[in-house]
Amino acid sequence: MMRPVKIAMLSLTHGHTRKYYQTLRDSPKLDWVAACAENETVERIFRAKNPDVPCYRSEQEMFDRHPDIEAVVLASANSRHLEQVLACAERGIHILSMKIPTFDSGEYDRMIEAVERAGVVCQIELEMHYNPVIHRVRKLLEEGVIGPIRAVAATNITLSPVWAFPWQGVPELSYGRRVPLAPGNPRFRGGALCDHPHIFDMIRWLTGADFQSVFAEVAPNLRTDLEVEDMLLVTGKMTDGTTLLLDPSWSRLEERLPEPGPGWEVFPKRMEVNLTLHGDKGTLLADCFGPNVYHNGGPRDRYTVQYTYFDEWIGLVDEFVDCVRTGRTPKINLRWHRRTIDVMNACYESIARGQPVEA
Amino acid sequence: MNAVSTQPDPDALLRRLAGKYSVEVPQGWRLTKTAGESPAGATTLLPGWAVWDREPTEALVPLLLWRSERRLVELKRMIDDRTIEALSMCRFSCLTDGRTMDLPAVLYREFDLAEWLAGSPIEAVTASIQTGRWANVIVRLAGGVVCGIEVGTTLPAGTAVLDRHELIARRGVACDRLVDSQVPQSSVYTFTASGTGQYTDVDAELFGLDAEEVSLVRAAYDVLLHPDQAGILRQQHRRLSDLVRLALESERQGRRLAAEGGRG
Repeated sequence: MMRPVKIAMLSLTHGHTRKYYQTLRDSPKLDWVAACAENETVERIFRAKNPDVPCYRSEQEMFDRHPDIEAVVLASANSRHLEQVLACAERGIHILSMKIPTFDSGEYDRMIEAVERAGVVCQIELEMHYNPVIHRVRKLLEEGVIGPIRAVAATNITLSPVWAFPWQGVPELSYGRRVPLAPGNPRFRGGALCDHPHIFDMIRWLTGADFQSVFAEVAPNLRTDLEVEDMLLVTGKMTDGTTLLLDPSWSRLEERLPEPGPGWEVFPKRMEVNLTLHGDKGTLLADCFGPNVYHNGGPRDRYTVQYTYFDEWIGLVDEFVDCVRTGRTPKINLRWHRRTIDVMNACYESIARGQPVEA
Repeated sequence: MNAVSTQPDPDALLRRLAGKYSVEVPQGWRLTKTAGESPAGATTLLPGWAVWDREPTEALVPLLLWRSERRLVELKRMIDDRTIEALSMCRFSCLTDGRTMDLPAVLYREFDLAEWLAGSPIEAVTASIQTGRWANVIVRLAGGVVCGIEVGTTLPAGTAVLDRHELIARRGVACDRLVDSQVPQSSVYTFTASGTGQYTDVDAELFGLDAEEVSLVRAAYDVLLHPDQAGILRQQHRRLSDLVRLALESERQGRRLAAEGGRG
């Protein structure tokens, strides 16, 4: 078996942070060396769950004390990614990045340049690629069961994580700068759309085509106290003519917990990624996170979906470790993901113009 | 239509999984789906219900694979974590085509689920069985929880198991099936000129296996990780076999019968 990769986590402020804990502990391919918390509150929460993992407040100190760190999970706000990627690349440290490296094209170029010059792996965390339901969908498409795809409708709808991860509601930290959604609109870029790249990525992967045009429309916010968008729809066309309708909203309300936990959801299912694919020969429906089990017990006695599987991180880490050890380029690398980021930016541009735009 | 397994050799998959995580498979151990003759000196891991009436020797590891099925693990977790509190009644249903799992096999499985989920042993069994193909059973567990078990084994050949496990507590109800539904949901549906297809994939590392096959491999893998489990599994197997016999006897006598250690 390959030598375990010595890994650390940075910042610990991303909503997916907790999902790594078990994988980093359980995987024999990883040796979880340390973590670095963004602030005191984050450190306290982390230490309560991981008392045996050294936790620092300074990345410099962590790297100095653990010069054997080979890779990091970049679990930070989007606005911190550039500096962290550059610092890691300079140290020759491999990077497993959260789903949005940056929305700024100049920053994105600098990340690509730094990573490629350093020869380090930078894998973007788009975990749906390792989801068993998506594996089945891919297999059925490859077998031609529904023929070539002609139309796609997809949801990536969740509750809003902003109460536990406040940076996701701050335009400068989420989108990178303060950009009004549209003239006269009091809201700014940086909300639900920024949280949900998966279906944009997935449609590229499943069709093998690129986006041609998109039209996005924001709906009134469910959470009127947020200054970023929480409800929107996207339609458009792919270069192969496939028509699409995407819902990347925060359309499931939540209890405003400072730390995610049981009773977080108000709507029974807090997270859904569903696909409808229409082909020349048939239709395919997929629920990537179902079926599950259900209850109306504690802590809030509401009907609730209790998810039965979240093992995407196993496959994701398998690929990352393999790339680190063999020098292979990960499937979801910075260059592949760039088009998805461009298209998400095009959605914002469409909202600003009130018209479809070329993607 | 359900997903058809394209990798039916559970032993090969167990070895692949063990190899990935550098877990040793003891010499002579093999995983099978059904009972059969074992080579001399071999140890066979297989579903316990497949040998429900057989004494488990050292050459046999009867697996309680449902304990590794994620939906049932989550139900168990909801009781253990006190998401639902003060369990009162369980309502179980399991309908099969009778070929892979016959009536005693289903009783074996559901009796174990009752004890495992509720966390207490069955004390008494009252069974009403019709021609060895259908059964309605009420069991009482230590602590007073009552469990109804509905069994049918006459679904058309090849039909996937239709089951449901509902836990009703003073605080909350938990169920492995969606409210307002009678049959299991699937993850993927296809609608084509060839008909309707359904697929449920629950494990990316064991992709291609159906939920029961995944559970079989995972259950065997757990024994590899914790070899001392084999003895505990044999012990529970004997108990479940006795409970199945008790249910058959209850039907014969037309009486409620006490389980070993129970109050009747």
